[in-house]
Amino acid sequence: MHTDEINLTSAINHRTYKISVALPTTYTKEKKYPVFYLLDGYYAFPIAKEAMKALKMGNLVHDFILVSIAGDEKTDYEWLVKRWTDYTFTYRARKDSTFSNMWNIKSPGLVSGGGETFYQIIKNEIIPMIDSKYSTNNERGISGHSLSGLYVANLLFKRDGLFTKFGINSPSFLFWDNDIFQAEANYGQTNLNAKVFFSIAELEDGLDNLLKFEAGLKKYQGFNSTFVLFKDETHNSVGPAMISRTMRVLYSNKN
Amino acid sequence: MKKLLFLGILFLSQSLYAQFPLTKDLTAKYDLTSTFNKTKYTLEVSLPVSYDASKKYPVYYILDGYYAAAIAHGAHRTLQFENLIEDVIVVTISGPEKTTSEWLINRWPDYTFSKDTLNDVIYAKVFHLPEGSTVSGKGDLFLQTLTQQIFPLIENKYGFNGNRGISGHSLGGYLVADLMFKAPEMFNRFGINSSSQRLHLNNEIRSKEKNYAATHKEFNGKVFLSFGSLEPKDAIEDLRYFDNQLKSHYKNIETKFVEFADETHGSVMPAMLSTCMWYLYKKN
Repeated sequence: MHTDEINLTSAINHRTYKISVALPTTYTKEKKYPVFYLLDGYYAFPIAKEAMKALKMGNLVHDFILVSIAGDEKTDYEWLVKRWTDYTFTYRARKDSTFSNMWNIKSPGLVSGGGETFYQIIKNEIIPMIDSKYSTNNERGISGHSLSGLYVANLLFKRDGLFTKFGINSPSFLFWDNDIFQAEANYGQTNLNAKVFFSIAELEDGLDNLLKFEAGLKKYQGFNSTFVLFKDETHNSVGPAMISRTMRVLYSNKN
Repeated sequence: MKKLLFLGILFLSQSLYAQFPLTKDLTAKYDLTSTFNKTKYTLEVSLPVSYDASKKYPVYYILDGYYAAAIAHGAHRTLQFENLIEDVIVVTISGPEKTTSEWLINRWPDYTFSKDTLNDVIYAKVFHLPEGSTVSGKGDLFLQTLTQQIFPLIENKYGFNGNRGISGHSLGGYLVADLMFKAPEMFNRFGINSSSQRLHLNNEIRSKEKNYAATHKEFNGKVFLSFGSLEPKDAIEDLRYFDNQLKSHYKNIETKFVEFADETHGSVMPAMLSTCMWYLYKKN
């Protein structure tokens, strides 16, 4: 399997993102491939690229290009700080200070609310770069877990059709004051062209809330979803199973 | 402080990760050539986040590094985010393969102790491999490589506390089941996942287990057994039978059998690698 690692320094926020790419083993420029963007690449990419290989081995998915997005973090601490900014659309000063104190994050501490800026980076910098380097079509998916699951849920309501497949896994809805419901209320459309994979682990909170969110989307034309509850898994232990199943459902070769 | 952090996170039970001093540099890679079967092996290692060279740790070996390495070391990290497992050194073992066909050919001799010509021929056909490329029955050479080259390399380099685990999937699961009775003192943690054991030599593993049970009433080990629920029913039931035999024959053995919902033989790998590691090294 061919993989590339590309460092992209954003002209928008001047931060460096590490973009990791895994191509299908039969990749050829003669074909055009859908692209699956995966957040939290910091820990998720190694798992995802091998899960993609295993899914292909079992002939369970069709070909797609895997692209994970990470920051330039070297430690869990740095990762935690960076994702806090990028994966939140709303600014929550109080949460920033509470968790900066709790986790002993040095000044300026956690700063939430960078989600829209990060979206502009994805849209105007990362996607164009990927589309220029690889043979891609216009079908894009995006997936995240926890805070990045919340992020992906927000992208459902972007109205620009940039993404049509979404992986929303153990999203931090409750943790972020359930403001995702407000984002949905503001959407104001009757159509939502989205294939969504929802998942949550049995040993964490938020199942009812996530089911409620999913149910609220069923009124939209064009929306379809799969919901999986992973038995005997916690918020974090679910990582490998969740990454694999997201790809298997969103890129199933059965449809 | 760390404990407080975890409590905070557990209360929220959503979303965030605790901070750890982990850097990606807590991994290492070693190449070696076996003096027994001349095969080149690659070992990939991930250390616990709080690794301290003056301390001693159990070592957990995982077969089929070809596909398992990145997932296993990734799962090693995700399980530590929440402090779910005890400190353990994880080592994946892979051969020199670059493609899936090469991998299938390379693992065939290594993961089988007995020669099984019928299966060799059948599986070369099933996997579309060249005739005669799958040659079973060289497990002893792999075992010598493991004990005389791989163990010393890892266990002298890192603080090792004398406790080893091993896990495998499919043919690798069969090897692990075999090792339980061939070298019962070598490991005390075993992962037997989607094992192909029933397919080999009329399920000879059953008689190996039975012979062992005739002279042993105890087995000092913790065993994780699993299958994907979409795998053949007879395979799942066969392993469940094996699990029941273990529980009924050895009074001190600890086992857990998991059937992963909606997973196939291949798709189960990420979930299986993570859950197996979690059970075998669960923090009490």
